[in-house]
Amino acid sequence: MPHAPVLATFVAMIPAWFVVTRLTALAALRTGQTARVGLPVAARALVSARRTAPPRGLARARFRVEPAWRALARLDAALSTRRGAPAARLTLAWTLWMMSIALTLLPGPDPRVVAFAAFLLGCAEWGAWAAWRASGDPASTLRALPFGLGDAWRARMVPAVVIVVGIAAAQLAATATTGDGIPAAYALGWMIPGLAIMALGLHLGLSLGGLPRAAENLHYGWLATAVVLNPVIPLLGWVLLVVALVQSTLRLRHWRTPEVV
Amino acid sequence: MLEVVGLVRDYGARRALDDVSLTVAAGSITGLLGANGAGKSTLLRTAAGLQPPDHGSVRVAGHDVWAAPIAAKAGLGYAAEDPVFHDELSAREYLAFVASVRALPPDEADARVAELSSSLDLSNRLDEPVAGFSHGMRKKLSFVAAILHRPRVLLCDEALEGFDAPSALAAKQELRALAAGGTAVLFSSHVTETVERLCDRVVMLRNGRIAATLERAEWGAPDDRVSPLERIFLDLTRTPDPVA
Repeated sequence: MPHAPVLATFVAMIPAWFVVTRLTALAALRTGQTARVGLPVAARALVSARRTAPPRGLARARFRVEPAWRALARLDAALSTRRGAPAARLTLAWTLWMMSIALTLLPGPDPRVVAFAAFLLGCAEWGAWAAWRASGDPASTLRALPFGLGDAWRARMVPAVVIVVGIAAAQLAATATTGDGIPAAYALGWMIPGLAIMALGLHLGLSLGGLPRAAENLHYGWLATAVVLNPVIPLLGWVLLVVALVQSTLRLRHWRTPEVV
Repeated sequence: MLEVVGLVRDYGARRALDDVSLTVAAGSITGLLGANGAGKSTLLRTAAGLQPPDHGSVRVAGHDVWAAPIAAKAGLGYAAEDPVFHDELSAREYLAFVASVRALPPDEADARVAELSSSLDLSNRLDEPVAGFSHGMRKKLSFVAAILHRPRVLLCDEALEGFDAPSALAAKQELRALAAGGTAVLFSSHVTETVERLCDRVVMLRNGRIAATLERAEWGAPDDRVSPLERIFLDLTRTPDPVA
């Protein structure tokens, strides 16, 4: 696996993402400036923002019989289709994964290195989504319900495995049609670090109840440190990822002792 | 039945619960009275499994809340003092989730939600996002979720504060019906009048300790009647508004 180009692309994509989000915010502020000239920029943006529509009815929910973990997974799915932090992160994850599949179709090793980086970035975004979802459940209304850590973990990891296996299968199928197929072991080599990154975000979210932003920051903190360290001492980044995963797994016991003040 | 044994809980140097022991028998409603900061909410949150005790234990229908949380919580209902929901969900989506986790048959859960939401005046808001709900409506939703499965032990943390008068009356009737069906209810409030009318027994907390335990016979004859002012208000709210 050629590490240097992968890491270079990985590192290059992070500032690009920040630049895009900040340009979007700047454009939103500029739009707001025309409305109220005498107010500060941020206040002008706020007062000229379109008012939210009056509450609309949502589709009538169905009552179902299903295991607790499936009910939690359904809750995740419902919340991720509504506006908010989890939806934004999941959209970005899927965008990166689609980009990864598309890049796999290009011939030669270089696009596949970038495809690998896009895949891992998608997994990092999914990890951030999992951190928000696992940490963001309101304890006062959910923690008195009869489900355990196993349900909360399974509700997120089962979809994670399905997604990663699905992407690997899509990549294998796509490259098989071009006559430039990739070996199955190659796809498996993508899945293991991807799942490790996803589990890291989930474990941090589960162990930091009510603190989704802190869980997300820790998740990105571990990953950024791994990315920076890897070129310094080859493979140290991957070792750090394993250490982070072990540490976050040990923290899972905190899920059982929430503090709702 | 709810059994609390030797519960101790500290917040830093402050002792919020100091060796609290009490039992709520099946079919009874026990009131929990105390000033702000007396330890009522801490006791209920600890009993509901939302925060661990420093010492002591809580058993719900024979299951320890901390050693066997899933079995204990299966028989538990908890109406929070200040409930927080996923604001993006509709009330019905949240209740459907609760019903799934509690493994309620769908038809039964649907009928129970319809019955409770009708008596608490929530019916026509069930499919709206919770984000638009007032504090009182959020408390009603928390109350409905807590009693959806007719729990064996119900913990109400100032559950009726914020309810309008007709809904409070309906909720009290529901609490009495649950108790008649065998539910052990621990009902916290700082409104003595509500506790006086509703409860069979009262436990008074002071600075984290049980200061007194009174049986209903000790404070007078049962009085379930609607007060004159409540009667006028209920009559007014039940007749069509001539201006609307």
